[in-house]
Amino acid sequence: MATDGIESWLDELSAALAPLPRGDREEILAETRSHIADRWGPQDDPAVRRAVVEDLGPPREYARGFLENYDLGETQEPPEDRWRRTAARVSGAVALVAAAVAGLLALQQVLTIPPSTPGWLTWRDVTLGERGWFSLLVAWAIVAVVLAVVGRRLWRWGKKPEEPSTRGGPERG
Amino acid sequence: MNEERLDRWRSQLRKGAAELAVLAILERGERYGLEVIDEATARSGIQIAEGTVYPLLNRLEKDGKIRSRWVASDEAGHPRKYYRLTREGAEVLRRMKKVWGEFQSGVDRVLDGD
Repeated sequence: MATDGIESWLDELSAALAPLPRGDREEILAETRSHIADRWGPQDDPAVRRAVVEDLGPPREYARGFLENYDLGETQEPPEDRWRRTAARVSGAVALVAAAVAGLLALQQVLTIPPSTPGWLTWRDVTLGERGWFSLLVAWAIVAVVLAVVGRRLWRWGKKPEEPSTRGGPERG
Repeated sequence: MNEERLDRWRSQLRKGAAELAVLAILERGERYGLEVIDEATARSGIQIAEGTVYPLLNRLEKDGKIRSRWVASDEAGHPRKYYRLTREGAEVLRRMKKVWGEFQSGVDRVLDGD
C-alpha cells in the first residue's frame, strides 16, 4: 500500500517529539496513525492521502503543540539539534586552537628572519631560500586567519539561540 | 479591517473558544479525536484545525479535565483513543460556560448600544 509521504511525515513527527517521555511519544504517534487511518478511509486517492497530512500541518509545528504541554526546560531541544550544536562547538573550539597554533608558527617565522634579509624587501630582491621563508610565513598567516574565521562562526552557530525577550511592552496583535 | 486581519481575529476567537467547545462536546459522551473535530465543525460551522485539537486533548488530559482509553474497533479496523470528561472537567466546563455567557451578553450589550 502506497503511503505518499505519510511514513516520512510520521518519522519526522517522531523525531520532533523525541524530548517527550517514550510512552507519551508512542501514544501520540499511535493516535496520529489512528486519525490518519480514519481520515484516509477506504479511499485510495493520492489527493486524499496528501490532504490528510497537509491538514495536520508540518510535523515540527504539530509536535510543538504537544511539546508546549510539557515542562521540558533545557531538554526541549530535539536531540539531533543538540548533537549538531555540540559538534559545531567542538569543531569551532578545535579550529580556534589550530588558528592560535598557526598564528604562533607565523610569529615564529617572523622571529626567525634570515640574517641576510635587510628589513622590508620586494619579492624581486629576496633570494630563493628567503622566498621559501616568506611563503611559509604567508601560508601560516592565511591558515591562522581562515581557521579563526571558521572557528568563530562554528562556535557561534553552536551556541543555543537566546529565548526571545518578553520585555518591551505587551504583545502586539 | 482587511481580510487578512479579519482572518487572524477569527483564528484567535476560534483558538480561545476551542477548549470550551471540546469540553462541551465531551460532556455529551465519549468521543475520539476525529469525532470531536467533526462535531465541532457540524455544530458551529467553525472548523477547529486538526493540528490544534490533538495537542489540546493532550493538554486537557494532562490537566485532569478529561480521561482517555484505547478501544479496538472492528468497524474501523484500527484502535481509536476515546476521551471522556472527568468530574473536574465537568466543573471547569460549568465555570467556563458561565464566564462565556457573561462575556457574550457583555459584548451583545456593547453591540446593541444599551
